[in-house]
Amino acid sequence: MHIQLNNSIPIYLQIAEWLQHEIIADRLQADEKVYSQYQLAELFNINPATAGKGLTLLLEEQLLYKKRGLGMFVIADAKDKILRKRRNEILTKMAKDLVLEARRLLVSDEELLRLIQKTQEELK
Amino acid sequence: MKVIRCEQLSKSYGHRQALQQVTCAIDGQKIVGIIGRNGAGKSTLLHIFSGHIKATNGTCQLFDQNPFNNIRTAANTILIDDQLSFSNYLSLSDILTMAADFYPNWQNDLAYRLLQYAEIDLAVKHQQLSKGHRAIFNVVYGLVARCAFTILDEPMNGMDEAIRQDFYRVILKEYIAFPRTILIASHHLQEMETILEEILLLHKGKIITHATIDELREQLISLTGPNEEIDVLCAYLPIYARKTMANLSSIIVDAYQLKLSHEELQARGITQTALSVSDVCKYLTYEEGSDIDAIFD
Amino acid sequence: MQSLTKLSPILIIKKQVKWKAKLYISALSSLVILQIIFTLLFFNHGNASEGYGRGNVNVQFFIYSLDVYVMVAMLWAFITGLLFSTKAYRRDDLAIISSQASSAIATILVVILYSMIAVMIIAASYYIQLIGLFLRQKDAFIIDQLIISPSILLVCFGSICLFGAVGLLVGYCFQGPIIVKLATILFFIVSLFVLIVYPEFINLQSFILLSNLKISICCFLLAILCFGLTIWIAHQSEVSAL
Repeated sequence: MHIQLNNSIPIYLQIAEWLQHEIIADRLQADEKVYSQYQLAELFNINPATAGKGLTLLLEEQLLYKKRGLGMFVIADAKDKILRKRRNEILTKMAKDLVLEARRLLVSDEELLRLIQKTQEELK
Repeated sequence: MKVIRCEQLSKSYGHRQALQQVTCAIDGQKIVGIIGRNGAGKSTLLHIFSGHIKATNGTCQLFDQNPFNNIRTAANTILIDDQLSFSNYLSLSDILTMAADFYPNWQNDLAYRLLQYAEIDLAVKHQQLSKGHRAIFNVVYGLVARCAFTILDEPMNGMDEAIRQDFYRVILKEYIAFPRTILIASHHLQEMETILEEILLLHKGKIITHATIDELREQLISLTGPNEEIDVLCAYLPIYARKTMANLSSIIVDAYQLKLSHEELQARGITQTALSVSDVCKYLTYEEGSDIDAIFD
Repeated sequence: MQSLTKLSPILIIKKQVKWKAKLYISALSSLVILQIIFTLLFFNHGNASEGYGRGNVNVQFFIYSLDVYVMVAMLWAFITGLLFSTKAYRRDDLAIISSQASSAIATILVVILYSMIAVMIIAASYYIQLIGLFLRQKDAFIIDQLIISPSILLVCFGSICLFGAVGLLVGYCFQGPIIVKLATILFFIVSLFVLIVYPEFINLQSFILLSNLKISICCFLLAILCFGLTIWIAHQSEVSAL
């Protein structure tokens, strides 16, 4: 398993992102033990401190919890939390970017809506 | 654990100043990249750390002792560079036996397995190895010695592309198996940045910055926008580099000095892009007129 | 957290001596070859000879002694010492746990060890030569001393050691810090000047007339002085000078 690391985004963010992705995809389930920082380091060929930083970020966002001496585990409602957050943050941001880009390209608001509907139809 | 403490360290060879007032500290078991262009003073600094040369001025403490010609710090230090040499009477397997006799943490099995992987014949002499094989042997030698303070000076020089990646992974795995302080000097930052925790950036004998890899990455950003808007920014920001193409300009600036938010920049038609760590290092050591394009203008 | 390795300097030097003694063994084989060459060279006519002639009687003495062997060994020791202090030998020490001083001490111990072995080689050459001569001409063979006296062996050892020490010191001087280099050159110039202007300054004759024990003590003291200086210079030396 290997993810392509992008060298202009901090690696710890990419690790946090990847773990969240694993949770959404149910590959990491509620109360399941998460990879240790050393496992992540080996998996992605990165420094363990960087991997640790990614884990700490998820700990701070309360997606993981720590059991002393055992490692980190997925919080029961982690998946819901991530999905909610994504909807809020990512979709909002993407929608904003989309609208701005459309205006820059002189696409009218109606046209943009029609485009979205059309895309939805196509992907059904 | 204090590993290295340097205060106002200088080293000169005649009139040439190889290091100027270097002050730095490295603590704990980390992989630290010593980055700098050719002649930046990397090797000089590493040779002072390893006790091979003496600073002209200032102090250097390794594990709270002066490392210069100090057998106690030497027992915990190993320096690998392309100058590493062994007696012509020893085959590679003899060398491993000898090293096992000296280094208490020596991993002989691992050495054999790694060298076998690299298809290196242990019956030959060190001098007979090709440049790439010698580099591989030296890295293996430096890692399996498991010294608390391991210095690798341009370890991958001469290795081919595929094996370089393998051996960065070997460094990482060995570090995880036996945490220690590893300094890696190189001018190829890009290929090893993921395994580093910190970077010490040297330029012309001085330390430009010493930061974690993420701090360093965020230190500079690139802004691209219309000339007029960029000119406004240039008036009050120190600029690391500027390129102009028709009516678009892009500049590299210090992210911490830029007081504008993402939205404010967007409103002015300026987009910001993050830089890779190696680009940040490149721009931090950039100088007036050191732009290759300037030669053609 | 991993702890630091604490190896006693003595242990490290011991190991260095062990490996150096093994690796530099070719120096000893070169001595053996030298001794064989000189044995063959002098086998027929001795290394000093005297002859008388009176009337029809012509008497020729061939004298075979240890002297030539010892002199060859002294020269060998000097060159070996010089060789051990060269870059080629000293760079190899950096690959294992060592400091400049520990390497110098280990090399000195090897020089002392090799000097001892050299004395044994000399004695062996001497006896082999005796046996050879005895087998060739049983009738006209006079042995002055069958057993080499320990005091003579001591002088041999002392002088070989001293030459090794001087070789090592000269080598280290020329590879050491620039100040030491200049001082050495100055020393050579001054001593050359003294020797030319006042040849009687060094009275070698009276030195040789001293008892064996006194000569060996002098040699040892001078050797120790050279060794001490070598260690001191090594301790100041940087690797970049290598």
